[in-house]
Amino acid sequence: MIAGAARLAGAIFRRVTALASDRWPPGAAADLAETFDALQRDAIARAGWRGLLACWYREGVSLLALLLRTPRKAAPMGFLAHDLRDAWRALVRTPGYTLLVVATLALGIGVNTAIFSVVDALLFKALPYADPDRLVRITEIHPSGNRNTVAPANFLDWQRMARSFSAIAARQNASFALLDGGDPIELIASRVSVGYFDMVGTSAAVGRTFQPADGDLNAPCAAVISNRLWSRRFARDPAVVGTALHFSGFTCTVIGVLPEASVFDRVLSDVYTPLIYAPAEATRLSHFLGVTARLAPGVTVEQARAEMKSLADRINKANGEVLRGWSATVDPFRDLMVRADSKRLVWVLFGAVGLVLLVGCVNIAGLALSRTIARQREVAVRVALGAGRWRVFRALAVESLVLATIGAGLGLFVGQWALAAFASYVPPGTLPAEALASLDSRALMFTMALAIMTGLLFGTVPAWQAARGGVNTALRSGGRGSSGSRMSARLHSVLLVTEVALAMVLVAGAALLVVSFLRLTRVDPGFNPNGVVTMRLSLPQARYKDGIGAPAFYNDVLARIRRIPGVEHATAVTSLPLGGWLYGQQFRVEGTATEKVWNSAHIQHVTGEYVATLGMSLREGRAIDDTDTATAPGVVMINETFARRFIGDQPAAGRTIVIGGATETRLQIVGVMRDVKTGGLGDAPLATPEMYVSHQQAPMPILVLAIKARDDAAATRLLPDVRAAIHAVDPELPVGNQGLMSDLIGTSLTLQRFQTSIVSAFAVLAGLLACIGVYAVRSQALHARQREVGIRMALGATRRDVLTMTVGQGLKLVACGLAIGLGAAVLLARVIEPWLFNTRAADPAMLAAATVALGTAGLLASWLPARRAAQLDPLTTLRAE
Amino acid sequence: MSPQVFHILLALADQDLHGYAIIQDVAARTAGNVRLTASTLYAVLKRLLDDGWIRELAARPDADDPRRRYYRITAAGRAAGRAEAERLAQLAEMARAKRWLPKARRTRS
Repeated sequence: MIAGAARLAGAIFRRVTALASDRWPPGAAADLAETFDALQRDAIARAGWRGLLACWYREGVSLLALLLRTPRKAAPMGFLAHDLRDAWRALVRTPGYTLLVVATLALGIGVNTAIFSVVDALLFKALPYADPDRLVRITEIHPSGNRNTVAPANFLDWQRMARSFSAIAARQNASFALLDGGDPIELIASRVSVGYFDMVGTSAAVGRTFQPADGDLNAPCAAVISNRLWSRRFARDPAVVGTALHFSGFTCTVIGVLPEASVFDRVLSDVYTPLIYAPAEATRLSHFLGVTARLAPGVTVEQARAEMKSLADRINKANGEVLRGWSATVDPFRDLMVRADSKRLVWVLFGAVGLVLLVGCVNIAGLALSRTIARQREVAVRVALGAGRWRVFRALAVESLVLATIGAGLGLFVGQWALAAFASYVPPGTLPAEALASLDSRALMFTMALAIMTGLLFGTVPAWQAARGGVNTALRSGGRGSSGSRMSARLHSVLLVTEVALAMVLVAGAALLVVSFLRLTRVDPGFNPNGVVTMRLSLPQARYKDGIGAPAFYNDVLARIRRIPGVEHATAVTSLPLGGWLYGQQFRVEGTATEKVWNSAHIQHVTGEYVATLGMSLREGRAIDDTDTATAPGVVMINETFARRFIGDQPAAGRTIVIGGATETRLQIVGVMRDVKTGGLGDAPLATPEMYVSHQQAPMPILVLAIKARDDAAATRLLPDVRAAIHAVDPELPVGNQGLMSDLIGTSLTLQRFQTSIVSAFAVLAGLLACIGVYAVRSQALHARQREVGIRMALGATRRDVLTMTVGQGLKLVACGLAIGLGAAVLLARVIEPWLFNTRAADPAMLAAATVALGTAGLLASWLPARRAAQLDPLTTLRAE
Repeated sequence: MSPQVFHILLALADQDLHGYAIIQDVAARTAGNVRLTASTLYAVLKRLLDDGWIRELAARPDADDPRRRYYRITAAGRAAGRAEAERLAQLAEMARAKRWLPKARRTRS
């Protein structure tokens, strides 16, 4: 810890001294840094943390003095060093104030630095790959115009024919069951082209990455593992290279380990194997590869895009109907990595923390102003003794800069922590892993800039106020009732209005998000999650090639599960509603006006009891059941949206759907289901068209089991029996993603919950800070007017009169701030409008609620000091004069 | 001449030193009363180099940290240091005449 702190300080020192290389002997910067490190080591050896802190203080003050001094020959130990020392003494004399300010700033600056580092990484910094600007992503374009993943056969053609790229690599996600005694473990894996690692510029930390020979059709399976897996399962033993990994159905030899803390430790995959396609195996019908490429020297993105478009046209022509309407395009890698909504998310967060910091600054300015007023006499004495106004101003400004610098220093630690917390809290997949790296020198520069800005922001107003105060009046009146204090009362009011307005923007934004979120949770999903437990089974390709044996396996497993006492229904499906995986399928409906046209809809493969298990309902016909076997006539179920859009008002059951593909399959519609929110609760009122086919007639290797019991508790109790039933059929099969369906609904709202809770947290923080500010400002104001209140009461004003008057004054200011903040909130709410569900950005009810909430808090904050003022005994107040 | 400059020249009077060693030498000679900070030291070293009172050595001990730079006092630096020492001695003499200091006790050498 202490060594780390010294290292960090050393890095800061190096950066700062580099800023002023003209002040050291030429080329001595490294020497200077080395000397500083040696001094730190000495200090630690002498007195541990205390020594180190003392060393930082001495070196820091001296360095700052040196840097801030204009290089003038005749000022050996410039005024600034004195200013710094004075500032230090003054701050130590009032530890409460110092601590409060430093803590506020450390928090504000720390969180800002953390968010800045995310924004910076996401929008400005180079990607953590070699020569990242030459990396592009190649996607196919679906006839609908959307970018789509790539069909393997097309990828192989591109790799052979495209001239714009020096390398093209594909990647496909997979999951392997690792068998090493005990329950099988599911590992997330990626199958990548053998040139993938070379293309992104990553070499192995131990062993090697793939070579062309690893991609031969008959090559033994080679695996590259992540550094994370190496640490977790192999205790970082270099001898792991050459060992065998036994996966269900096949075995791979480890050939290398990826570097530590690289981008590969921040993605999910732990195992990489070569992606190998025999040309005959590759299909053009399903599109599932992610394709990345490196532009050849001298080729622009536009040129590559043009080539890919004509190449796609050529490939399409050669393949007739299958690819009609498809095309291909090229985008810079970064553009696809940074989705528009993640950009919005980080900008909103950046804005929110910026606002919190601003409220904090305004608050501190209020405190500093009160402190200045309390020290008016001291300042007046200084001026009377000959200190220039500039000198007084500078002394106080330096004081705030010192505070800001200390705050920023601690803020760096807070920032490091905040970034880690943020990274663990942000829903996976929202932001690219690259953006959640650690704080670096750029964040450090940002923090320093922030420190100086905040220092000036909260420090100059009071300093200026102090410097212009009249000497005579201040000395004569003992610092009360003078024109100076009237001026500062006005300043205090401005600060109060400002901070209420700033907080109001955040509170209003949070109110909108909260109500939108609540509306979202009340949406009827179209199914009943209660008492349903789910888990995912992936049958290994090696043992269930092309899904052969999958129906038998699932029939057996489901039969066993349905015999477990307490199980009401059990089913298996390719993807649960809200599960996030949707597969498109081309089809046409016979006997309709558009029967010749190929359309596209989502397709799900289901076993019997699907509708019953998930508590869905049918509008027409029957559900798919276990009698729809491979030998029975082909059947399909559709949803209402499908029926409405492609069939119209006539009955749908009995019609024939033709499924496109290598060979066309004719299926008879047996039932129409009511719509379900498949993609997410925020889906438009019109759901997407969907088809459900029988798993026995169209087997898939990866299915999700759903099992219905009486309630969630009963369903959870079933889990061990269910696992036993699965392993009785196939002991090598890992059971992944076990959980309750009701939790899945919660998970599907993770992003919205994240947005709502983090903005709300910032809003509460800002509101709280603002209330503290209101309280402090009003206390100060009423304290300064004790005499006036005393006189009023002596002249017959009742306590109630005093209370009404003083609360009224405070409330007027609060109301002013609320109005300004509300106006700004209405303008700014448009930024978060895309996040809102069934809620308008200028939702009057919500804005009113936010106003009332913050207004009430403001009322309380101005009532407390007013009550104290009203309880004063006028005699005591006046006698104290 | 500032006390820092004088102390640095004194440290270099009979040996070539690198920055950190100068700080240590000054601290040891003054029993810790004068402690130079790194930034002050290098700022002063720059002035001394500019004025030609010290120079940087091209050669350094082989086993040493390659970042370290060694400095040697020049004739001009020595002369300036001597002049300052004279001035200080005269000041001390004047103080003694006014009894601000005890009479110097001559030690036999």
